[in-house]
Amino acid sequence: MVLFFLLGSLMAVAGASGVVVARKPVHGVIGMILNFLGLALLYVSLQAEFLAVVQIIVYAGAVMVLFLFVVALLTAHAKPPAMGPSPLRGQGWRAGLVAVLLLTALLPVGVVVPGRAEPWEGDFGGVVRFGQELLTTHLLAFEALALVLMVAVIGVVILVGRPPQRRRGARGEGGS
Amino acid sequence: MAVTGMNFTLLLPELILVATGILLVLLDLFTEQKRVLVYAGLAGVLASLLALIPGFGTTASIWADMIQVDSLAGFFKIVFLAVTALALLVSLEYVERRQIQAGEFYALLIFATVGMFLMASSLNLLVIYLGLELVAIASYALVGLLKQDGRSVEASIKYLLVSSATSAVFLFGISLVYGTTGSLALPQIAQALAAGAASQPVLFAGMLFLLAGLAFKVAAFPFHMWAPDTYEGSPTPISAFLITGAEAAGFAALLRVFLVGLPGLADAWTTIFAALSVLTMTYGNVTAISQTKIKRLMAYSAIAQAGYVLVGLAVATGQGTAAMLYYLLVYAFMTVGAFAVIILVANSGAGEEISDFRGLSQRSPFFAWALVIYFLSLIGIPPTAGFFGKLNLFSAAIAADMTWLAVVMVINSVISAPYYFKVIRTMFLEEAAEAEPVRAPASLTWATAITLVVTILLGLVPDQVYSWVRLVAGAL
Amino acid sequence: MVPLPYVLGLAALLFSLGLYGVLTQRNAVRILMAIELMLNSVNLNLVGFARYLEPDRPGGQLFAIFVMTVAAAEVAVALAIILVIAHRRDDVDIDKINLLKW
Repeated sequence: MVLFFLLGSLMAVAGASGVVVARKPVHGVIGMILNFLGLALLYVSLQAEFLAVVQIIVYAGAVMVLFLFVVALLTAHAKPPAMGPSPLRGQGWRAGLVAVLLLTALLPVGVVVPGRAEPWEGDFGGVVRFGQELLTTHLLAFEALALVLMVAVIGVVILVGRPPQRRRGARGEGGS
Repeated sequence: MAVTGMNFTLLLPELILVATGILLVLLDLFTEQKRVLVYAGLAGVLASLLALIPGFGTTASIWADMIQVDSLAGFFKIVFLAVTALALLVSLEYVERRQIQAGEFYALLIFATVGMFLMASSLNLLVIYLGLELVAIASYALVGLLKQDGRSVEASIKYLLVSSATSAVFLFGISLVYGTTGSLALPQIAQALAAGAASQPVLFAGMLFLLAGLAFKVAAFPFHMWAPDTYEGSPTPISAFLITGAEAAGFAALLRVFLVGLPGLADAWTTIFAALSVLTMTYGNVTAISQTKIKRLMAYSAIAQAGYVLVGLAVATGQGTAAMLYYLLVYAFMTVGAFAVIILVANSGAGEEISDFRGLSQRSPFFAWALVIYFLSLIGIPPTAGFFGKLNLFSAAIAADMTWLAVVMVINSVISAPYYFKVIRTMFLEEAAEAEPVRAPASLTWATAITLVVTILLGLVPDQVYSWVRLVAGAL
Repeated sequence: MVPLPYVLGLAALLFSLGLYGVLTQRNAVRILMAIELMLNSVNLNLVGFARYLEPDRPGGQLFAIFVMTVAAAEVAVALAIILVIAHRRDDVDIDKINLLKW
C-alpha cells in the first residue's frame, strides 16, 4: 500500500508539473494522463478500488480523448500555433507567490486533523456499498447529476451544431 | 433499503420545470412557430409557481435530507420564477431577430432555473454544488449562443474558465469542511462546530475557500473580473437573467452555507463580508462612471449592488437577512425592467452604446420614463422600491453597530447617481439622429409594465412585503 | 496504511500546482488542464478524508464520483466553445481574445 502511495504520488506530482511547464500542448496532455493514472494508484492505496477504476475510465478514458482530440484538431493546421507558455511578464511571480502561500498555509493543515489517526476496517471502496448509497441516500443528487449531463449535451449541440438560418430547403445536406 | 422521504408533492415545482425544459426541446422539432415555445415555457413557470403552494408554511427535509422545503426556499423560488418568466418574455423578440436556436435556448433557461432552485433549497453541500454547476453549465452555453458575434463566444470561454476554476476552489473548501466536521449536511456541520471543531485551522481554511468560491459567483470585488465581460458579451436577455437570477442564487447559497452551516465562525466571516462589501460597492460605482456601453454600465452597477446586498451578510442578524432578501427581490424586478428597455433600443436597430439612447424620450416616452424609474430605484431615491431596499439594509447596519458601513453605503449611493443620470440626460436632453417612434413588441411592453408596477408598488406599500420577508428570514 | 497528513499534503501540493497553472497559462486548453488538476486534488482530499472518517458517514467517495462526472460535462462544453472560437480564428490564446477588456 505504501509502495502504491509512493509511486502514485510521484506520478501525480510529475504529471502535474508536466502540465504546468510543458512547452507543447501534447506534452501537457501526456502529463495529465500521468497525473490521472497516479491518482488512480493513490485511490488503490486508499482502498477505494471502485473509484480507481472509475478514475481510469472517466478521466484517462473519456476526458483525455476529448483533450487529445481538440489538441490534435487545433495543431493540425499548417504550422503548429505557438501554444507554449507565454512570456511570464511578472504574472508568473505573482501566481507562484499565491501558490506557495497557499501551499504553506495548507501543508500544516494536514498535520493537525485530530482524532482521525486510524482508518476504519471493512468494505470501503466496494461496488455494492457504492451503488446502494448512490441510489438511496443520494438518489436526488444522482438525478440532478443526470440533469447536469443532459444540459451539457444540449449545450454542446447548440454550440457546435448547425446554425438555424441554413435550415430552409437544406434538409438533405444537413449534418456537419 | 428504501429512500427516506420520497416526497413527490413537495418536489413538484422542480419536476414541473424539468418536464417543461424537456418538452421545449421536443416541441422545437415539431413547430416552426417559435413563439409557441415561449408560451409553453411561461405555462410551465406558472404551473411550477402554483405547485409551490402545498409547500407554503411547511418546513420539511425530504429525499434523505437532500432537499429542504422551507419559507426561505419558497421565497427564492418565487424570485427565480419571476426572473425566468420575465427573461422568457424579453427573449421572445430577441431570439427571433438573432436567429438563435429557440428550443434549446428556452430549455437551457428553464434548466438553469432548476439549478437555482437546488442552490436555494438544499442544506447539503453536494446538492448546492450540483445546483451551482447546473446553473453554470447552462449559462456557458447560453452566453456563447451568438456564434456570429465574437464577443459572445469569448465572454463564454472566459466565464467558463473563471467559473470552473472557482468551482474547484469551492470544492476544495467543501472537502476541508467535510474532513473536519465529518459531514456534508449544513446542520450537522453547525453541530460539529458547536461541539468544538470551530477552533481548527483546517476548518477556517475551508471556510475561506467556500467564501472565495461563492464570492466569485456573486461577483464581489476581488473576484469580479469575469462579470463585466460576461454580461457585456452575452445575449442581452441572458445578461438580465444572470445578473438577477444567478446572482440571487449565489446569495441564497451564501446565506445557507454561512448562516446555517458555519455560524460558529461568524466572528471571522462577518468581518470579511464587511470588507468585501465596502470594496465591492466602491469599486463597482467608481468604475461604472467611465463606461460608455450600457451593458457594461449595468454590469458594474450590478457589482455595486452586490456590494450593498453583502451588507446583509456582514451584519449577520435576522434583520440583515430580511433586508437582503427584500433588496434581492426589488433588484430582480428593476434590473430586468431596465434590460427590457435596453433590448428594445437594441432591437430598434441602434446599438448598445449609451449614446444610442439619445432622444428616447421622444421616440418612446413610455419606455424612457420606465427607465428613469428603474434608475431612480437603483440609485435609491424615494418613493421607489430601491429606496426602501437600501433603507432596510441601512437600518440593519445601524442596528448591528456598524454605522460606518451604513455611512459608506450612503456615500456610494451618492457616487452612483451621476452615471445613471448621464443615461437619463442622454435620453431627455439630446436629440435623436432619427426621430421616428420605436416600435415596441407586446412582449417587451408587458415585461416593462409588470416590472414597473412591482417597482412602484414595492416602493409605495413596502410594509406588507417586508413583514413577510421578516418572517422568511426568521425561519432561517 | 498511509497516514492521513501525507494524503492531505499531497492534495494541497497538487492543488497549488493546478492553481499556479490556471494563473500563469494563457492558452484556454491548458488552463482547462490545470483546472482538471485542481479538481483531481479535491477528489484526493475527499477520498482521503472519507477513508479516515467513521463508516456511517458516507459522502466523501460519492462526492468524488459526482465531481468527476461534472468535470467531464464541463470539459465537454468547454472544448465545444474552444472549437467554435478556433473555427472563427486560428488560435485559442487568451491574450488574443481581446474584444472584451480582461
